[in-house]
Amino acid sequence: MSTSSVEPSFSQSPPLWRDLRFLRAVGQVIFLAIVFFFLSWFITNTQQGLKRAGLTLGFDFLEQPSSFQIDEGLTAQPHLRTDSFLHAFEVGFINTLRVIFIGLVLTTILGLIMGVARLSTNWLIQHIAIVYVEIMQNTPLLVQLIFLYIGVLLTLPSVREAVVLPGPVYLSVRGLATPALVPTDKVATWLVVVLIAVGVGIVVWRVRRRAWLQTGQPTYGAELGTAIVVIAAIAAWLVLTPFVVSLPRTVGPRYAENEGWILSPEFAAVLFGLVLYTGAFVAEIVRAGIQAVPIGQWEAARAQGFSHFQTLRLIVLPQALRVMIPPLTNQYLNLIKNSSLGAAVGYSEIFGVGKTIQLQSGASVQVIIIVMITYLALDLFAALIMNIVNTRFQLKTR
Amino acid sequence: MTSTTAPTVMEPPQLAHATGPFAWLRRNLFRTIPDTILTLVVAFILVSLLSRFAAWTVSEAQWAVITENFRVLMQGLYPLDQAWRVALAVVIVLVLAGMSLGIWGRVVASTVVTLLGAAILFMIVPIIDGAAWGESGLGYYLGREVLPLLQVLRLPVLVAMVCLVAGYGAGWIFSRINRRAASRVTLTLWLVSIPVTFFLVRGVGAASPTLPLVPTSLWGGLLLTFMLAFVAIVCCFPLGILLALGRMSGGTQSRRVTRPAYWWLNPAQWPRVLLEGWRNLGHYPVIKLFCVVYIEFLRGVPLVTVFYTANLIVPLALGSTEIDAVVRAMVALTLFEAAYIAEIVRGGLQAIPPGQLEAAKALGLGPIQATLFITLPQALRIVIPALVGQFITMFKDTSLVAIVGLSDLLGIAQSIVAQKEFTGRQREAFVFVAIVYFVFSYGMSRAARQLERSGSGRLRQLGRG
Amino acid sequence: MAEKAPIIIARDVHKWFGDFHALRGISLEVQAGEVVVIVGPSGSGKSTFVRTINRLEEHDRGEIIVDGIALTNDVRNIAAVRQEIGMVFQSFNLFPHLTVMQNITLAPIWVRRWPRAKAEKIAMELLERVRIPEQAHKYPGQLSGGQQQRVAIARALAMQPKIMLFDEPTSALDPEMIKEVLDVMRELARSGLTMLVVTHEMGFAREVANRVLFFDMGQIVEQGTPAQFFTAAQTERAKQFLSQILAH
Repeated sequence: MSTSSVEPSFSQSPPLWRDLRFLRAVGQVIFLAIVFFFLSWFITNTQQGLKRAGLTLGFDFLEQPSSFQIDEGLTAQPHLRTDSFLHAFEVGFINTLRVIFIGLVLTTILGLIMGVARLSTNWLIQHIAIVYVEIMQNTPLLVQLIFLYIGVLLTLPSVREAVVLPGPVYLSVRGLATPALVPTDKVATWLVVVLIAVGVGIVVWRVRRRAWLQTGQPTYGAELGTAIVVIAAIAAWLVLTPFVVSLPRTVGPRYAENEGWILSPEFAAVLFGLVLYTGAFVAEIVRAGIQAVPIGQWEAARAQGFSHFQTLRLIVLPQALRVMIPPLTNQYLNLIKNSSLGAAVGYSEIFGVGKTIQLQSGASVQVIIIVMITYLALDLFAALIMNIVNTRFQLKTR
Repeated sequence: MTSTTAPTVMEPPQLAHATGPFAWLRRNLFRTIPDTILTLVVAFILVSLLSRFAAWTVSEAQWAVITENFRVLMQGLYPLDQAWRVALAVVIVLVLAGMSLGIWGRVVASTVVTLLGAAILFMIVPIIDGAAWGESGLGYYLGREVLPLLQVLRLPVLVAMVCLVAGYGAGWIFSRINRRAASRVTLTLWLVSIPVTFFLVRGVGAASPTLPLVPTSLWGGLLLTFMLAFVAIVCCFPLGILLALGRMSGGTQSRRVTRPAYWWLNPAQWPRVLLEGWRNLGHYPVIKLFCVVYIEFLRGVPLVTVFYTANLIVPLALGSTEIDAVVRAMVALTLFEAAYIAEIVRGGLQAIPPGQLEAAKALGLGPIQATLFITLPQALRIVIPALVGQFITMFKDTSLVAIVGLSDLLGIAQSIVAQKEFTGRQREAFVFVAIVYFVFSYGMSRAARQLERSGSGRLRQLGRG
Repeated sequence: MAEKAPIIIARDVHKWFGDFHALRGISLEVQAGEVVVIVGPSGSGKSTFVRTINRLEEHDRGEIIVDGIALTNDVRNIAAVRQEIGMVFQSFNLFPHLTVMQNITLAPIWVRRWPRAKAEKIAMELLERVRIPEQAHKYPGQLSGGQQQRVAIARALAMQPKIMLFDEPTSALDPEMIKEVLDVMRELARSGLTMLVVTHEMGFAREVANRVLFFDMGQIVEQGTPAQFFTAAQTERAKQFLSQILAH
């Protein structure tokens, strides 16, 4: 086991097969070889299988006409049969973004309300929140979506017998149709005017605020600034007419195209399903965050004379946010990924569009790659943003 | 409360000290004016919604869609003469669950009340002759629609409760005699039950007389949901542990790298940063990189896309070999969830003080021995609550196979409702599905919370110091 | 017969942490049975050096030879060296999920491959030696700090090492428990075990040490017998350190 001399006569480097660094390297090479072998076997087999089935391999299929149309999007028929597959992907992606953006905002609001309600002293409000959270968390999202879509939205009356509210607003199985503001060519000018007014308003606000801080007399800087913006916006509107009102109209069994704003039942199902489901998880996160704030903060605020809501808004919530942001990030990412379930209710988001494209073109592998990369990119982007937010919120320590 | 010389301290309203129902109402529902208004408005909305729902349940809903398809909803197309095997598997699992609760859980009053109430409901109900309830109106619907539903549910629910209670009793008695032996026996039984239930349901071979093979294509309904979740949980757990260990391999402390500001704008600095990043990967960069890529990739894509990929690519890759759709789904679910398990286990591994590994090394323990005896046991104990939560999530995630056409509980409900004789009965079907998921998911969450408080919580207490 | 070889030889040992030069050419020879105490300000490299001896840290340059075995990247050498050296840590590092008995017998059973009965017998003897035989079946979380550290010493001794390393063994203990641990260490020293101790306990050093090493900024600034070091320190830095330590 040990050499007998004082000075070890052998060299410093041990034999290769006992050298730690060599063993580590060998282990990794073997691992890499196994992975490589498996991957290449998989890929070659897939290529052969594709060739046998006569399916294409390149990405040129993207330029071919898609021979299906999409009726869901920012306009009434954003994608026609003659448009390319690539265009179909774009439309699907935009639909995903639509539901994600609105969904994230609504989820946060709902989660905040429900989280605070969960801690309310009012027994009824608190228990409604508890029941809501338990039901939403313990049933799968897909079940909720399908129930919302088939069980609720599709049972609305047909367009001929639509519920008509003042507006006119039509509620039917084809969706909710409301009057819409259609931008004209004067919109840009109007926006510029509004922006200038906002700038002026901010300046006025700051000046008045400084005066208020110095003299102690209330100078209503915020009110003045807001008034400036509102007056300018209204005046510019009257002069320029940047928007034109478009009223919805029913044509037989359908809504007239491009008239009014139509919220399709698919979009509503996905949006509300996602918001209600994710909102329950956000509510629990908000509750945990608020409860993580030491009770001394509440007591100190009370001692200073803050009301319950003021305490919540100014003192407790900012501190709670610190704890909430990592799990909140998780839920946001979940919402982004869960938007893919829209395909189950017929909403044309990118996964659903991808499935149709695969059926039409046979380009299975390429479609999968595109769809997965899209979600990965969305995921990464959202995580990056939330990371920046998280760092901002961390306490500055020594 | 009078005092002789007390200064003028404002007396608090009687709320804090008063008792009785009126005081409770005032305190919890009508504390201030805005509070009162809120209570009234919300109560009004709630009552109108609930009464509408109750009216629907009782008078408009036709539950025949459930009662006539109950077997299919529960077991899919599992051959009727072999159905005893499924029942046996369920009995085994429920008895074990009862035993575990008996040893580690504490019975809460509300649970007992609920169980008693349900037992009474299901035992008394069938005795009532529904037809005698009247020919029209509420009685008619209760008798013709609701009663058959309860009758169909009666046997399974009663059997389930008997198993749970029997298991609970056995576990409770056993743990009074010798708690540690009881724990060890129960854990071993759970481990043994995994292959036992699997082969019970699946069968051994086509030729076997007692347990002929039931191909997975015949599995469906709640049975398929459970089998999917079960197999995925059992398989993804070791895979997740391996991934976590791989991601933590070769040194867990990353050296603080000072990167020049805005390094990404200057291409000349990229090689240096890349080299630092490579060194930060520790002693086994290839393995760590692989695990990181695997985990981050599978956590960034939705589960449906993984199922979809498995469905499309696997048949292509394996040529003409037909891999059953259920097996494909199991594989996809396993690979997907392993990434989440890996992150949870990694959190546990990072929570262990580095001194533990040093002490193990100083004693001469090799890396495998140190991991098996020192780091893994401690890490797993720390993350048991998170792991159980993830398993419950997996149970719910199995519903997604309905999108790729498999006949799990949700999928079967969808196909039932698509049949001509049951069109228009979607609400009933999906409400039933939702309730089934809720019962299991909520039940498991409650059990997990109990286990955490008394079982592993105590184990974690021992972990202090 | 030739003079007996030193059991620890370190020659010009250097170590860097990134850009920080933690050990700057440490050279040292320790004879078998010697008790060497290492003192010095924090950050001077004492712990780092001690940890390079059993390869918890890798030295970047120089040689370390323990009991004739050179410490290199040879896996067999590293394993052999670690079996001959026992280590006691500042934060005890007992395994919280195992009982005291299991803590002590784990390594002998799985590394030295002793049968369980033999390992448990030796463990009980060691527990008697550190004077807590009744705690054998308790968990570390149920013991006091002093008791835990004594268990840690027993655990290290169970491997029957030739050398024992102590990295500030009493720094995390409440004052009333320091004595019981130092008593055990005194008894070990008297029994002829080779010990390398990093500590701030100067009383212990004066009593028990054969040699005292003063580390500062990664180098051995001064060494000598306790008598020499404590009463007649040579270098300015050593004198400054002593005045700070011994002031209270």
